[in-house]
Formats: sequence, structure tokens, C-alpha cells
Amino acid sequence: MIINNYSRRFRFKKSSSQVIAFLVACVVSHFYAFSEAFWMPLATITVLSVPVGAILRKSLVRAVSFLGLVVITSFVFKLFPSAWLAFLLLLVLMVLAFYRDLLYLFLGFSVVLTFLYPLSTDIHLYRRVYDITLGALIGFILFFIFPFRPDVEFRNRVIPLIQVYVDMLDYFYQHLFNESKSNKPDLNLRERMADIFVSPNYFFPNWVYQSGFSLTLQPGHRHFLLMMERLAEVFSSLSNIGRHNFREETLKLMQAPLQNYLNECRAILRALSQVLSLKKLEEPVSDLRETLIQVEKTIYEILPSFEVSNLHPDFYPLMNLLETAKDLRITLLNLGNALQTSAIRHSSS
Amino acid sequence: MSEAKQALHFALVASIVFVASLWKGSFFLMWCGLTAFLLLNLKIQTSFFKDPLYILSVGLGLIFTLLLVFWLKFNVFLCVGIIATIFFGLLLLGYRNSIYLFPAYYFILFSVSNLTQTRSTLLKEIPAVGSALGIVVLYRVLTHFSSVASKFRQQFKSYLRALDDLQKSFFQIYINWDYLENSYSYEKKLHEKKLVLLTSEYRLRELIQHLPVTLRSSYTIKLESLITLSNQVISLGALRYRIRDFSMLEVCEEELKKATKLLSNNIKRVIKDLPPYTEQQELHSFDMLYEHTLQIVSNDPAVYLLFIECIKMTLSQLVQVHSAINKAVS
Repeated sequence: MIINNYSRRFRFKKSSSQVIAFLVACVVSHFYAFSEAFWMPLATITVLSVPVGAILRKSLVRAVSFLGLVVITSFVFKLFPSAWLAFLLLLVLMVLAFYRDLLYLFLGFSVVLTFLYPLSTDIHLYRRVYDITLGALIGFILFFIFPFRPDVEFRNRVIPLIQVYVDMLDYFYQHLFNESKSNKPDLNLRERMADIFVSPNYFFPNWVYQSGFSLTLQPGHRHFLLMMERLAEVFSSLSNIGRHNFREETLKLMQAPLQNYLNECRAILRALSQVLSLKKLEEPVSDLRETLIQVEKTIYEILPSFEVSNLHPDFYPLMNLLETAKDLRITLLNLGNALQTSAIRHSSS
Repeated sequence: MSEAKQALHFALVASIVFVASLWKGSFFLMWCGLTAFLLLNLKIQTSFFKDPLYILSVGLGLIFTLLLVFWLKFNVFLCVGIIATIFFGLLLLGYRNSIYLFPAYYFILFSVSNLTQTRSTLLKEIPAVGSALGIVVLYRVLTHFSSVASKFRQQFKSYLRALDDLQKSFFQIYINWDYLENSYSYEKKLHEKKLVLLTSEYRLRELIQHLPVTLRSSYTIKLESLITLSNQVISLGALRYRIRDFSMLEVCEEELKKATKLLSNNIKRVIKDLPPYTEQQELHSFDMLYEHTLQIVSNDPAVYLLFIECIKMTLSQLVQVHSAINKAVS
């Protein structure tokens, strides 16, 4: 619920900032534009259409690129008013727009406009530069009036993934000890994970990895995201372990220590979710050391001697389970550390 | 779709637009070209029917935008107000579902650039935009005309290629041994490879949704076998955070190179509908190396043993994938 509400708020804020900037640019252009009426609003929209998190740097790059291309193409098309050249340049920019950035879309548009509206006088170019600069300035001013909090946005986008991980832990346990289990992976959980990472409505804050993201926030956020992805890998391993048909004796012996261990892992994930939601922790969480030792002890009771253990039918899955449980512990503890050292926990909503 | 392939699509459409504009002049060429490239930039949907419909609706929306701006021009503030309202609505939709984001920007670009248009320019622009729309829709229908089963096969091959890239990236870490010094740059590359894999999986799932109900279960079985394979490949990456001393990997550098080559060759065979090799001679030397060296000198021999076992499991899962795919097709 928190995510849906915040997401609506975020969408509303980002859309309204762009529209207000556009309106301001149109009004200013109507009264103060010296060249064609569209340059100022176009420059404003170009500057504002940046992803979350890398705002100032990327906007500056966009403004400079837009201005630079308009100046160069205005000169070129005045000297060589060739439709073929303009068309070729447009083609190249549009191909780049498909693979790189929305910026190339705006640059392509500007090429068409500079060709169709050639310079009439030399002073015309200075007027265009003035209008574009003013439009970009309007965009920058709106960034300060409607600031975005990438740290807050980050926190709220990570929480749904934590919930998926809690469900994956539950699924793994039920799948392992369920009598009527199947060998199939849980497509539903996998689908939820894939949805968060890559769907058109995706929540995963990939923009943390982009250049230009806040240098203060980047190390902590990046480390946290890396650990979240590592958790996804650990759960993939657990999913494969769960497919193995363990012997009944093995399952009976493993059930209690594994259940305790997974319960504590679940508690840590819930605690992470609470901290990210800026709530107080309901109860203290353990460092998983004791329960992991119990799991390890049980596994070595089932596999008494390492040298001859590979004759045991459950040898590889049990060793894999032990190593994966260790990976899970280290990753969860690293996530907790990332919260302590980064700015995530300390920023307020 | 590969970058080269998409660039080729752009080049072909550009040629068609160029030929269509030969007797129409530069104004027609620029607007027709611009509209055609904007429509080609719309990300491809997975359904044969949805894709041209999506392009058609965006194209008609652009024509409507031209007309709207022309009709409202008499009152600049009213015109700008209505444009801003529509832009706001489209942006809200676009930030909810990114397939609407590009059309939102197309709308604002078209409306802003036509604020100074006259009746004569409108009469020249609409045919140019309309022609571009017709060219792109027809082009998409002709070039993407294939059955869902055929699309599934193409996507399944993309998935396997993504898996191959991912396993190569993992082994690159083990062969280079500088993971601890450059962990961030390696993790960034792995993140990108995993995103490609998950995107491919997402598309496969969408394709299954568009299948007739009678076929869905058999294609779901194919997807399940692929996901199990991907879990196995992802498990190959676990070694990088289990070992502390990467210099130990120098001992098994040759075996690692052989293992990744074996995996890659087998994946490529499955992509070409050939059965993977069942012989695993290349892994025999890895087993011997473990028995005689790694087991003795490493601090935690179990992780190497599990790594070798993981490679074997991946190879056997490839056999399962190959039989699952062929069973479903027949």
C-alpha cells in the first residue's frame, strides 16, 4: 500500500513539474521569445525529461547538447541547405534514440526544425541561443522548486523486492518439506521478481548505477542494490536445492534446524523492510550464527565423514544447502551493514 | 533484437521514405522521415495484432495533435492549456506504464513545433505524417508476420544467448582473478546481463499469455525447464563470493577455460536445435585437479567441489531443455 501511494505521488509530482515548466516556458516564450516560439518550451522539456537521481548532471548535458546541435545545424543548413544531409543526420539520431537515451529524440526533432526554419540573419542565431538558454534555465529552476528525493524513492522501490524474498523463503521451506511437492520452480514468485526488475512498470531503481547519480548517496545505495541482487542469486540456488528429492530421514533431521534458521532470516528481511519504511524495530534480530551452526551440525551428522560422504545420495544437495545458507547469512548481514553506513536509514521522508 | 538488425530496419524504412518523398519536396521528406522514425522508436510489443494497432493509434494521435493545435491557435493560452492538460495525462500514464511515455513526448514535441504553423503547412504536414504512418504499419506487419510459436522460438533462442553471455561473464571473473579489486565494474556488467535475461524471460511469459489456452501448458513446461536452467547458470556465479583467495583459481585456469567453452558450445548446439554433447571429457581433468590439488591446498574445498558439480548439473539441464523444447514443438 505504501508503495502504491508513493508511486502515485511520485508520478504526479514528476508529471506536474514537467507540465508546469512547459506552461511557464510557453508563457515566457509568448512575451519574451526573440526567435521561433517553440525553442524555449522545447529546451525546457529536453532538460526536464531526465530519470530520477542523476538530475543536475544529465540535465546540464542535455541542455548543452541541445544548444550545441542547434547552433551547429543552424550554421550548416544555412551554408548547405541539403535535405539529404538533414535526413541522414535525423536517421542517425533516431537510431541512437532507440538504444541510448530520450535525449536523441529531442536532438532529432531539433535537426528537423533547424532545417525547416533556416536562419534569416546572423543575429537570428543569437536569438535562438538566447531562447534555448532561457528555456533550459526555466527547467533548472523547476528542479529546485520541485526537488526529487532519490533516497526516499530508492527506499520505497526496494521494499516490494524484500517482500518477494520473504515469500521465496516461505516457498522454499514449504516446497522442501511438502509431501506432494513437484519439481517445478515457482513461476509466480519468479514472475514477481522479474516484474520488479524489468517490467514496463518496474520498480527496481537501476538509475543508482547511472553516471551522474548523487556521489554522496551512490556508494551506499549501490552496495545495498548489489546485495539485493546477490540475494536473488542465493534464492535461485535455493530453488534448485528444493527440487531435489531428499531422503525422508534427511528431511526429518533437517526440518527443525532449517526452520529455525529460515525463521531468523525472515525476521531479518522483515526488519530491513521496517527500517526502510522508517518504522521502529518490533523485536531484535539475531546474527544467524547460532542457528547456522545448528544447521551445519545436523548436516555433518547426516554426512559423518567428508571423504566418503559423496556416496550419500543427498551429499551434493546438502553441501549446497550448507554453502547457500552461509551465503544467505553473509548477504543478509551485509544488507544490514549497508543500511547502517549509507544515507538510506538516516534520511527522513 | 540486435542493434545491427534494428539499425537495418531504420535504414530500410528510411529508403522507403526517401523514395516516397522524391517528388514531394524536402518538407514532406523531413516530416515523413521524422514521423516514421518516431514510430519505429516505439518499443515492439509481443502480439502480432497489438504491435501495428499500437503504432496506428500513436500515428493517428499525432495527426489529431496537428489538427488540435491548428484549431486552437486562435487563442494561444487556451491552446497551451489544453496541450498541457493532455501532456499531463499522458505523462501520468507513461510513468505508470512506460509504453505510454514515448507517445507523451511525441505529443508535446509535435504540438510545440506546430504552434506557428499555418493552414498551408498543415495541409502539407498531414499527408506527410499519414504516409509515414502507412509505411511503418505496413512495414511492421510484413516484417513481423510470424506465428506466436515462431516468436517463441526466436525469444527462446535470445534467452539461451543471454544465458551464454551470463555464464561467460561469470567465468571471466574466475579467469581474471581481479574480482576483489574491481568488484563494482564486474557486478555492473553482471547486472546488465541479468537484466537482459530477465527481460527475455518476461517476453517469453507474455508470449505464452497470447497463446491459445490449449497450447499454454505445453509452452509453460518449456519455460519451466528454461528457468531451472537459468537458476543453474546463476548458481555458477556463487563461487565469486564464496572464495577469499582468488589466486587459487590460477591453479585451475585451463580447466575453467575448457568448462566455459564446453557450456558455450552446448548452449549454441541447443540454439541450433541440435542435442547437446553428453560426453564431459573436458570436466574429467577438472575432477582430477580437484582430487589431487584443490582438495588439499584450498581452505574450503567444498566450494570447488560444488562448483564442478554445478557445471555438470547445468550440462544435464541443457539436455532436459533440448528435449522439452522439441517435445512442445512436435
